[in-house]
Amino acid sequence: MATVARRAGEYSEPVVAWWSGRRLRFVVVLVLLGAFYSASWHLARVDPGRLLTGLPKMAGWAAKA
Amino acid sequence: MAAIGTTAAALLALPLCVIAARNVTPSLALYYPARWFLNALRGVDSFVFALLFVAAVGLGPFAGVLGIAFHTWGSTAKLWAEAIENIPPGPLEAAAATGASRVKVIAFALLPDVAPSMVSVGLFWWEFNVRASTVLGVVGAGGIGQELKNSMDLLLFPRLLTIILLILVTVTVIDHTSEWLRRKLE
Repeated sequence: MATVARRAGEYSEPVVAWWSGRRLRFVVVLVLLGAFYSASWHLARVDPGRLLTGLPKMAGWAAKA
Repeated sequence: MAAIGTTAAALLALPLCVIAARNVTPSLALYYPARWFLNALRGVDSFVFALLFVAAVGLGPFAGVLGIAFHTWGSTAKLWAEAIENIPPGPLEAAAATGASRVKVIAFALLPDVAPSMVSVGLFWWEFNVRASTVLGVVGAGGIGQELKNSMDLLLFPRLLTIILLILVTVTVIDHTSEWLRRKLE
């Protein structure tokens, strides 16, 4: 890996390309994962509000059991 | 349904598996309640949880997601806790000897050691839940099981076999992904 010349006593920092194939692959995987979870969330009709009303109902049943 | 349920279960299982592993638990006073809680979650099948959630949150795939999430939470956390208990104590002791905090020991000595088996267990449960979701549709918990049941009721057998084929393809893809990920992590 190429390095940038520094003054004596300083560590030479490796030059990392801002846009590399590896980063592009990482971003693509991240976007695909996001799209997958977004679609799954939508299809599963996830509604935390319903859970907030449902859990106390279940707790009530458990208390009576 | 299986993806969201399994992911939610994995996120919930992560802190609990550390508490439920004897060698890294912060306190035995937390260890036993954590174990009992996990046993209670594992003791009730996702089908039974889905039946309860259909009554509590209404018909639809969300009840199935909750059914899958609750059962998988208990099972995954227990298997992860056992994986943590089986690791050699050397790396943990070495990290602790450097003065690393408990969180750092878990992050840098424990997790890299158990990550392959944790990923493997997580993907196994995802694959298992894809198959389980076919049954959950029958109790009104939506998902692909609902489509399967509708096709069966309407005698649309070509559609039914297409759905079964889709399930088989999904399970095979997850199996190969699991194998690839495990190889990458080793």
